[in-house]
Amino acid sequence: MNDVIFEERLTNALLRAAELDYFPKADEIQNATPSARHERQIRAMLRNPNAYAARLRRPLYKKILRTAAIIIVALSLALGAAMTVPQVRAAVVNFVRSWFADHTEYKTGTQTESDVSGWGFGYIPDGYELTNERVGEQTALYVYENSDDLIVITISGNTGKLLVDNEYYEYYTTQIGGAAADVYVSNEAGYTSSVVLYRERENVLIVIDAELDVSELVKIAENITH
Amino acid sequence: MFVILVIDDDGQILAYIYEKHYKNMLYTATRILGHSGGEDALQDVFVKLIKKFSNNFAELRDKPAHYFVITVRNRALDILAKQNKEAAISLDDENVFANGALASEESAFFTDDEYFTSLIRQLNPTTRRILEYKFVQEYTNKEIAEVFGVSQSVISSRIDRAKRKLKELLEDKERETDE
Repeated sequence: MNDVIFEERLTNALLRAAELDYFPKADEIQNATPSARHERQIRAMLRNPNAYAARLRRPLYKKILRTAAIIIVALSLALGAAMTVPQVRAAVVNFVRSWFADHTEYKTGTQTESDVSGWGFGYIPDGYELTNERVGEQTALYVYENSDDLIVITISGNTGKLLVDNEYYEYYTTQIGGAAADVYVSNEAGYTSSVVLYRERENVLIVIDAELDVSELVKIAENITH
Repeated sequence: MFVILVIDDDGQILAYIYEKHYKNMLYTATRILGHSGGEDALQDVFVKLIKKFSNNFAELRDKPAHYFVITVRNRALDILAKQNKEAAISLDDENVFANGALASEESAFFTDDEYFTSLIRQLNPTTRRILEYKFVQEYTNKEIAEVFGVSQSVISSRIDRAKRKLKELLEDKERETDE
């Protein structure tokens, strides 16, 4: 038996042994739910992404992945205690916006096809360049970057939902270019603000997220074309 | 502001991973460290996993459930050892197998894989963890040495000795089966 084969068998044996000795039974994990303290810890980590990024000193594409990494913990909040918070559903034509104590959940309509491709941005502040563009079937991501900061624009269609932290932000609902919009203004220096825009005709949610003055975010939103 | 786009490709993968495994992981860590410590260990493990797999979350998604349980268990045991100021590897751990001898009278009825699994279960607990770090969690010897606070040569020696012994026993068993 050569070493490669032996090590592969060893790995499998370690996994099988773990199943027998460590792996919890289904009934044992019923009450394995995160505490409020744990949720606060997670959120504290999420509220300090700049320090996190500085520590890692990652290139841009990894910063984006870091943002995606936030999802795993935030989802647990969304699916855990937060779901018990009474919610107010505000159906605006074709999408659902649900306000929770610490986040807002958006879903696009499911009856209409979404179109996440072919979007253009008529206004981007000076000094920013498009450095990342990914267009999938139901999601598009555009990242503009200058020497210090990012503008991240995401466009999402009707197969998923969007969760936005609202706990540490001032927010208000408005209309931008005839579209329903929510504006989230950061309360703390060093943290980004966001505009969430629902474009009914294309059935997409557009999020513009950047450490910019809100007037600049609104201007970007006003100049989005399709 | 953090914005969560659940249908983002990477997001879907990570959400899937977390939702699929966190209960097993939380339960495992909590059994070792209590609820508060278990939650800290879980958070710590996920931060480490995100860093380690940031270029390829799909690879992390394809890991078996046992991988996540082993990972959080080992992290929880590391934390516990530090809390108790225990030596990570004691001189008592020199033997590859916990009791020095194997309960092997039933081994003739085992398949080779079952036998191999039974050998793993009889390993000295520290040796077993070192092998898990190496072959399941894919740590380098240097990383394992840092976890246990010993030299790389100690880790290398433990791994080589355990592999040699396991391989020898497994090949003996396979020869017996062939005969």
